[in-house]
Amino acid sequence: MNGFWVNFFFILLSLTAILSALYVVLTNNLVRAAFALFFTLFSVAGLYAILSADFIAVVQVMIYVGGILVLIIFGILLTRTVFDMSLYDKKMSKFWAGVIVVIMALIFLKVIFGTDWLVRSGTTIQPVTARLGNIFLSRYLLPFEVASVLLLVAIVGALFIARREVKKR
Amino acid sequence: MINLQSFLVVGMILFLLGIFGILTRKNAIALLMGIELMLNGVALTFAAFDRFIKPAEMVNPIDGKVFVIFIIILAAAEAAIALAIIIQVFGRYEDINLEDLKRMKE
Repeated sequence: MNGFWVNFFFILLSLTAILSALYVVLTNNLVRAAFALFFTLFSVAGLYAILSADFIAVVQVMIYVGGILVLIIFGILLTRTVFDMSLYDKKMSKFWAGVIVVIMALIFLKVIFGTDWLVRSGTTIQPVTARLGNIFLSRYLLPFEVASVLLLVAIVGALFIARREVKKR
Repeated sequence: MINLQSFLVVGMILFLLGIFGILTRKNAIALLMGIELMLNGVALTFAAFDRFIKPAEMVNPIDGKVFVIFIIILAAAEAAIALAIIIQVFGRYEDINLEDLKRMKE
């Protein structure tokens, strides 16, 4: 593994993810926010690839970019709030939200850099898909089935909530 | 450069930007985007721990990736339900401004 290129792509993907996430939370145009979210999600998929989680990178692209983001864009276009300029809450100003975020950032940074992590030695990068399949059907079989039922319930529930009631006379 | 702390910092920044979005937005879809950012930050943190931390005796070395898969599953379910609710609210109030939603039933 070439160290320079890994570093280069890590910095590139991190900067893309962070800057486009910043744009998502700061812009006034919801469609532009959705497209910036597209770049964030794609960059996070690349970061998964750097973390040697190949299957998760593909799942991230398929489900987040191909599913959730399309749903969000549908929601934006169906609710006609594209040029809603009053996108910000009046009761919570950006200043106080920024103060809260900075305080939380200080706490997180203290934990991240103050902890003595038990880092694993050596870099063994192996493909992960087969092992994930095995573990889903052996050790995590019950959570896997529960997640399947949850997805079914979510489908039926979303249809039930979003349906239009027909009044009978 | 590629170590545990750098990935944790990236995940932390995504999580905090999501919190900032949730605190400042009042449009329901913009708030949903903030939630997606938070979920991505947390999932990235799980993947980084899975890659870099030495697993304990009882722990399978791939558990962190399993958690990421479950997070993505829950995010998909949550987005579907949330958008169904948002569309229903829009049909009733002609707006999805969260400050105006004060009744659960008219």
